[in-house]
Amino acid sequence: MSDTVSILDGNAFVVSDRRGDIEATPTDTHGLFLDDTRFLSRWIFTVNGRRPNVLSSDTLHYFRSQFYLTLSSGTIYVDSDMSVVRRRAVGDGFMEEIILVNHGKQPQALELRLDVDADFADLFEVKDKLKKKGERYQRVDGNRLVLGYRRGTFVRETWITSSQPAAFRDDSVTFHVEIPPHGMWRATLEVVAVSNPERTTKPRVKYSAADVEPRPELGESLKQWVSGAPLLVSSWEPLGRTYERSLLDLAALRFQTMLTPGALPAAGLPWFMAIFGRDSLLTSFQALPFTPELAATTLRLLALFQGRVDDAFRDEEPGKILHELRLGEMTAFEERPHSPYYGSADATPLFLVLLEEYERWSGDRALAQSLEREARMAIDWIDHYGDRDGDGYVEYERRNAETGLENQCWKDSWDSIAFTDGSLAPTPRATCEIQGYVYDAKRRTARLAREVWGDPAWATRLEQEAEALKERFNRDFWIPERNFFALALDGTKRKVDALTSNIGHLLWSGIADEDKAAHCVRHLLGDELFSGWGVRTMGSSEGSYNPIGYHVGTVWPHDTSFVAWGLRRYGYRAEAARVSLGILEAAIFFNHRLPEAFAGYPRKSTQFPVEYPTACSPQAWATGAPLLLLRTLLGLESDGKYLIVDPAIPLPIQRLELLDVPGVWGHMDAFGRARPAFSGRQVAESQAADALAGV
Amino acid sequence: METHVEQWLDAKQKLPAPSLAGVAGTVAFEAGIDARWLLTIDNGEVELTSGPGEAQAVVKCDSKAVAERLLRGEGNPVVSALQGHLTAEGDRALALKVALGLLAGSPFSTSGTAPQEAEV
Repeated sequence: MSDTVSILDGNAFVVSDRRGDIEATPTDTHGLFLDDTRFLSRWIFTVNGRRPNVLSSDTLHYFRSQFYLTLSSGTIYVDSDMSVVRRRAVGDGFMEEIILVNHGKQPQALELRLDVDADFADLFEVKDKLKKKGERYQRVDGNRLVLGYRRGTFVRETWITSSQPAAFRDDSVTFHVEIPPHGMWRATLEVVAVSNPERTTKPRVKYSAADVEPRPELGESLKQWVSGAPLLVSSWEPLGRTYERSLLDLAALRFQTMLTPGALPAAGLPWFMAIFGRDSLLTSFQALPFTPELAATTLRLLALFQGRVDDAFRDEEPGKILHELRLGEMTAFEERPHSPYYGSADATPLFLVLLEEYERWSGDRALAQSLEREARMAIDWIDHYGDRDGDGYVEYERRNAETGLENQCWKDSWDSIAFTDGSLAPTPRATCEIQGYVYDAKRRTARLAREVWGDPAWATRLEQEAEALKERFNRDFWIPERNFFALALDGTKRKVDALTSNIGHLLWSGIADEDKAAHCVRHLLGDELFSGWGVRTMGSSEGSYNPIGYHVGTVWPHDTSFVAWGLRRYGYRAEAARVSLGILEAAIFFNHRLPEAFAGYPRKSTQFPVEYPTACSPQAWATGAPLLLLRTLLGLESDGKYLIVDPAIPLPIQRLELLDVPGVWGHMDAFGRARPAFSGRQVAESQAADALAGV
Repeated sequence: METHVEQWLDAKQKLPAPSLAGVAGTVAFEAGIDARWLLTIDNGEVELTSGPGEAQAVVKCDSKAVAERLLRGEGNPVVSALQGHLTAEGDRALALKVALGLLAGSPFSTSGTAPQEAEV
């Protein structure tokens, strides 16, 4: 059981212990966070100087938690006669209701106290353990305690008020109460996170004690949002629960900022509660058959921030799609480049991929028409800035050597791009999946150029460039002695020869030749990459392999979902069903909320998926993974007019129906049943045969 | 004394702004009672006026100097907003698009030309 309780509402979130206390330390990332800033670092509740004991704690909804506590009598022979309940709802700060019930026959005189503090740490400061540069202050304004931080014109404050009379001090809120026999005492406290208070009118927390239903940033209620998504009917009960959890979390993660019109999902709690280009694009792709409006919002917002200037600090270039937008102090003072930061080499082709997929699925031609200029700029970036040395491949090397990202692909940790002997590849690095995305982007953009933008000459040129890229890629990246594609070409154009899940993305993009794809499928379903739950980020025989290494051995559900979709693209229906089922079964062990990543230990030896210690959860593209896997199982495609359904359902699921799938066709239903035999190509080797039997 | 940007006010001169190609609308830049400048953008050209005219978006700045810097394309508008120097109301997408576009190239930049004498 986790020793923390987390609730969220967009990019506001609270992490506490199981008593409900917040006690930030260098090792405990507790706090109330909003806009990448910790507005409360200490919030400890005591009764007569003692901290109550936990009976139970739970999250009632993504934004609400409650904590049942008791005062210890100090001996097992004497029952405690006082119950304590704390109920909390996060949104623009948080609301906390504290209830004490006296079960005894005597009145109880109590001192209730909350020790409070706010360090106003930027999340980057929390991660890197840095010191603050501005000044903190505290003051009591009548019935309000103000904790503040000022650095020039950058001001952040936490306002604490109470529904019951309280003594406010700079570091505490104290109540002196007397509770009669069988009586109750109740107070509601509001902790409001305020940015630039002189510009803020009447800030309040989002929820009151009476609110039990969330109000996500969707422009509609959560019930409307869920009921507006396709209805899932399945004979396999866990699938329905995972589907519902995904829809709820996708809503919970969405937020707007003072800068960004339109609500996008934050990438992941706790470290990535911000807008990320790649994450938004891939999540929107995963969710397209379920909530196409998310893709439209993503495309509009990323187009707005598309790179306009050449700025080494932000790794920005004209036409480039952003990597990450942060709102904290270090970004505000340009001590970090995230205003926004553009260190992503794949977001730009993925922007084009999503644009075409969205237009084909939704029939929303107007959006595609409005983004022609941005699409042309994106193609120009790919050809000129992306391919920095003119070798025909997009490669990356950070220009901001101090605070920029060393790896600008989805596996963006420092050690992810390594040779089979474990040595790191020198930069610039051209990772294989980015070339696949570019190939796909050019083909898709060609269709839009021809059918939407009326430029057949450009369309033909793009198609020719895509075909030429495919031809040279299959020549330059293929490792014939190992029969898979290199992870990357390094700075000296050597093939980085580790076996990784990246080859699965090549199937999604369609860049792999058919014969080479067949070899890749064997690897993806083989023991080195397939753990039984999902596809490992790196093969288990590689020098850098670590089953609990962030990008070098763990299984990422979103990664596997794109691998599965790629398998479908090449006709490997049974194999796609097998890896899809693995992830969907793993979700059961995570209470139907898939984490960002889990350990790569083999299923046959652990029997359950082992947690990765610092995995984000919920995390947007992990939340989107079950959605793309459902699409994979039902074989859902749009030909621009009709919904194509081509199911390949594994046996445990038996029956799968998705009703009212939205698209250019209006709404249509999709049905699938598991069949003992399957059509499509089989993996040549027998190692996958056992799991395939039921497909 | 007139500031660099103020010399363009009511010059009734449309200036080329290639970095704002594809953008259309009017954005007001306000600095308390000191200034209310209207930037009208149309088909890659801009015109700066002052007065109470309507705008789809209003950028409220904490000083005239901040508004000037935005119009001159100096300083990142996201950074200015995070530091508390400005807020945007109305069509925030338009405000952001214009501010970022000016950052990429502003006709009011100090390295640009001065307004032509208005014809009598």
